[in-house]
Amino acid sequence: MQLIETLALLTILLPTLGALLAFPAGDKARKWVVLAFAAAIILVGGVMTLMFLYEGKGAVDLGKDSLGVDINAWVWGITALDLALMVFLLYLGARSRSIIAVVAAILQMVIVVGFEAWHGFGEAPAMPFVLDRLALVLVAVCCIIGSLIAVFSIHYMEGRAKKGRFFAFVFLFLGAMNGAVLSNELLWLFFFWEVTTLCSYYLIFHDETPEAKASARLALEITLWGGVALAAGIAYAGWKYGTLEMDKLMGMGDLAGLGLVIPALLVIGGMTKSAQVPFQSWLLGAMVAPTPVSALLHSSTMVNLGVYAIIRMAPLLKLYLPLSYTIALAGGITFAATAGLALTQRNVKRVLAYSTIGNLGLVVMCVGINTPASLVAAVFILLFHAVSKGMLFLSAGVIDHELGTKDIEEMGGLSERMPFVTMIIVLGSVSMMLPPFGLFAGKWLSVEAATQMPMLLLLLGVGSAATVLYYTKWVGRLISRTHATPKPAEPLSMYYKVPLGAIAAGILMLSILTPFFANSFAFNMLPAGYASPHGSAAADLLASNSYIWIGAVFLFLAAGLALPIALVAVKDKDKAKVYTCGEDIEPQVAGHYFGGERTETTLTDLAVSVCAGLAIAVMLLPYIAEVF
Amino acid sequence: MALKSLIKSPWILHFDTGSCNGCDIEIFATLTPLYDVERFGILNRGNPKHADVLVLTGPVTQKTRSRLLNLYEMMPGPKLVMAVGDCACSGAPFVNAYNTMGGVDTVLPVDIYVPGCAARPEAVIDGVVKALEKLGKLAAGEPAPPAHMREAGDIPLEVYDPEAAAAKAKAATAAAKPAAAKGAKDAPKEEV
Amino acid sequence: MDYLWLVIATVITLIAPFAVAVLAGVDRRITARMQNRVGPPIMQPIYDLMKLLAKTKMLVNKGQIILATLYVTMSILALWMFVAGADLLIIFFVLSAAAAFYTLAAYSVLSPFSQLGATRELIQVLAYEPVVLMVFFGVFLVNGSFSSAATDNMLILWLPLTFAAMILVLLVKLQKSPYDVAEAHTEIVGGPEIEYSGKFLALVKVGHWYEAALMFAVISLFFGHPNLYIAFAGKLILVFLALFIVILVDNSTARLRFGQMARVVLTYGLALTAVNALVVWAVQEGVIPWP
Repeated sequence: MQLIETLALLTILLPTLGALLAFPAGDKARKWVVLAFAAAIILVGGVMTLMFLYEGKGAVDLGKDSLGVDINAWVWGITALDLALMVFLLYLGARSRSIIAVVAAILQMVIVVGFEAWHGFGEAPAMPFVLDRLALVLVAVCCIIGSLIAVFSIHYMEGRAKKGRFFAFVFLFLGAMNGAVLSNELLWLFFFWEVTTLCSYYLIFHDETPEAKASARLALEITLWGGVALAAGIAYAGWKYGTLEMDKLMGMGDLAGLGLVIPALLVIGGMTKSAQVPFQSWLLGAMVAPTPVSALLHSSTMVNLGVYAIIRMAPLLKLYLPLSYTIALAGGITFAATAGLALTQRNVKRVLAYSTIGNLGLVVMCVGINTPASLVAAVFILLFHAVSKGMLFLSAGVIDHELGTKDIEEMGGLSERMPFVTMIIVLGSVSMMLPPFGLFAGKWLSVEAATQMPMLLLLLGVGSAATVLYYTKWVGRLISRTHATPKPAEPLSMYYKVPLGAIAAGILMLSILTPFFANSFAFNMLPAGYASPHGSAAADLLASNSYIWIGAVFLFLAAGLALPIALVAVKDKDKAKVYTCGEDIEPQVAGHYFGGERTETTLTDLAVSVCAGLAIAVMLLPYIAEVF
Repeated sequence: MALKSLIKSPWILHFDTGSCNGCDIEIFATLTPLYDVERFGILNRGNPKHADVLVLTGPVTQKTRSRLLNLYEMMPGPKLVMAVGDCACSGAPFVNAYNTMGGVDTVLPVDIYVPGCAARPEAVIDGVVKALEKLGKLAAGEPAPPAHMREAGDIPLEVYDPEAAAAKAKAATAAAKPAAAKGAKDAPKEEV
Repeated sequence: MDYLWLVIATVITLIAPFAVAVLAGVDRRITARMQNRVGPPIMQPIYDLMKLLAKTKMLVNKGQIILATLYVTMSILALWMFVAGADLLIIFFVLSAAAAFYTLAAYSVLSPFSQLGATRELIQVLAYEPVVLMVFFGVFLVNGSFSSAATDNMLILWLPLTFAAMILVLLVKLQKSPYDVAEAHTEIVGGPEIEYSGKFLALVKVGHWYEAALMFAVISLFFGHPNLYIAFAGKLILVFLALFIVILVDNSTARLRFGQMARVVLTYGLALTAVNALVVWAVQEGVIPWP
């Protein structure tokens, strides 16, 4: 077996082993286990990425032959584990007293068991895993960012109960995520998908407060029904078209017509996983979990699994454009609505949660537009969002841990109390919306792509403006004081500084390398059937001429920072008080939240009703395609 | 150089240190299109950090004193102070009141005095012109009248002493009595 | 890439604030004449700038100055990119970066007026940014690309409603009534600008001039002609026409509340641009016959 194949399999197996070791270990030993495995996973992921790039491959088939292991044994193992998992999920639904979850779990079991019985157990897939460029992006993010978050959690979770269970599920999740992304065989994807549902349940459930239990229950309900949709789509694919492997499905042109039920159902499943409107309430509820959980599952990795599935379905969606465009519209409305909703929030984790849902909506929109440039935009946004949002959530976690608050209004003056964290947050926020960072490049490409569907431009414009608004509002509150004498800055633990610093360095490096990433990587990652995106002006600009524009932006930003720092000398005699009409008072200010809860409810109801309608349309369109 | 450029664009900050608002109304009238002070480049900025000329009315009550000093400190140099109205110039009828300082120049060095009650817009504009002339002289290095400050109470006080006043009145009536008595002898007796 | 053109673009960018200063002077003069008075000399903004540069240094904190400098550099960058012919979309994002830095600079001082002004400035951004994006889309529909290089297309004939929406944006950007909400002088005493003085106020003013220059440059996109001289004259006339309309509206209206401003600019701006885009698309597809 080649090295890359080994490493790819290790990204699944190594975290699982880490989970098994971390669970029973004592506190001190567990710390070393976590550190060791985190380092190992970063090493494995990093080396695999570098080797892939160095060898310039398009894809690495981890098929029966190249793997050299007994795939049949794997199939039996996974099928058995899958059944056990579904029974356990049923038990969890029953324990949470949720009829919805129980019914979903039963339906899942019926579909999968029924299909396996009809299909016959134990027929080994030709190519169970595939590592192509898209999968590489997600595996790299999962390994590197995921491990850094695990390191972060060592200090964060100090003093909390049940750490063994926590770290076990974090590592199990890393393994499952990698497995899901690498899967080419749809039933294996389903298995790993449900493992992530299990991990998400236990990690949200962790603090075992009534809120945590309720949120975990809601997450279980929604994602289990997503699993039902997934299972139904997979079963139909296997039944009608005789194959469960994605690459074979992509090649089948006769999927047009009723066969479109497959991508439609997978898209619906992906939308529940990625908490798209109308399925977004579970992600908001999941914010009660410890912040590393929010960083890992609910921004950097697990929610990306849903949009990953949608991106994989893009060639099939292309067969019937009205379906694709409906999905684009749903994504666009999600983006605009959640951007507006984030404006009304005072809890910083909810702001970041809405921002996550919005950016994923942007990815879904780009996939729906279904042009080469828009697919590249989708990948750009996915990658850069995962990295930046993970860092922002971790910073929110530091603030929560050190200052004990999630309320934006209480974070005034953070620039004096915690300057390092403030700088990280400024970098993270700026990288989410402004040039020259990668997310801006993704938005640029997506605006160009949206000219195909001008309705989307309206949504994009409003959403982008609102994004600038809520990030600037938050960062503004951080850099302005609210009291005369701030408490002195406390020293930050290395467990916080190293992951945050590493991810920040990563963001800067990735942004500088954006043109390279576009040219040699992103443009070549499109599936068959798509022309090269070199026709689109933005794509061209990103690839060749962009060095001038992006370089100019970096230059001007650097000048704008360096010149005042160097040239403006501030002596005490130069400092003046602020203007308060001559009074000697200490002003107290508050932010504007656009009506708060009332606006949130109205906007949510509106968005949910529209998107629910669109989701129903997505389910019905395959039948319309069949008739016409 | 600083002063020269100030001549072309003096921005004012208007502050009322306790006046009856008569002079304030006149100042607002001056800022209207009828008198058009914008042709001198004058703009009314509400904020000391943007202003060059501090235009003051009122006799500086004890309460406004600290606010006035705050605002003055917040103005970057070079700056001028203009006292508009009798109250600001010298305290006028409130000079000896317990709650006022008695005029702006007891608190800040005043460059231009614009008397009047209320000071007319034409007088205010004249004051501004004189201020610009002063700046011109300073910029050219020629001697110019300095800003003026005085101690509170420089203006001599006549304190009302009731006993002295009563004695004075008595002496006055006593002096008038013989003259009145003389005049009364010649008057015909009143019919009873 | 034509490097000579980059050099020319740099020169034009350096001259731009002086041109805008003259325009601002003309603006004040015409406003004065509309109010039946004489008004300041046309070079008055330059005198103001020189006076501000000569004042003694005063600031509240260094962060404010750093963010203000970032705002000005982003504005200069946006104009330079436009003159050098960059993609309109990257200019759009640089503009939003400039607005974000300006707002952050206002947030960094704990002054009630500054904070209020900063929030209002953000709401202003929410109001005009989507409209600007749709204006650029209109340009894309007629010109076929998002490039900001001048073309021969007479855009104003194709996009009259979009031009009207651009006037709305201009009113907001130049802080003219009825949309002078952020710097609402008599309401919040200067808003985001309140804590700057002297040199730093001059810096922020120059930043505003660069933004205004960019807005006028976008207006000048609406006129095109194969003959270079006619094109140049036409663009100039269009800019003065836009300025005149803006001054007229400024003098005839009272300020709106910030919520009203956002609602009016967003609804009318998006509606006008959307209708215009629809008509242009219909004509291009042959749905509506047009000679």
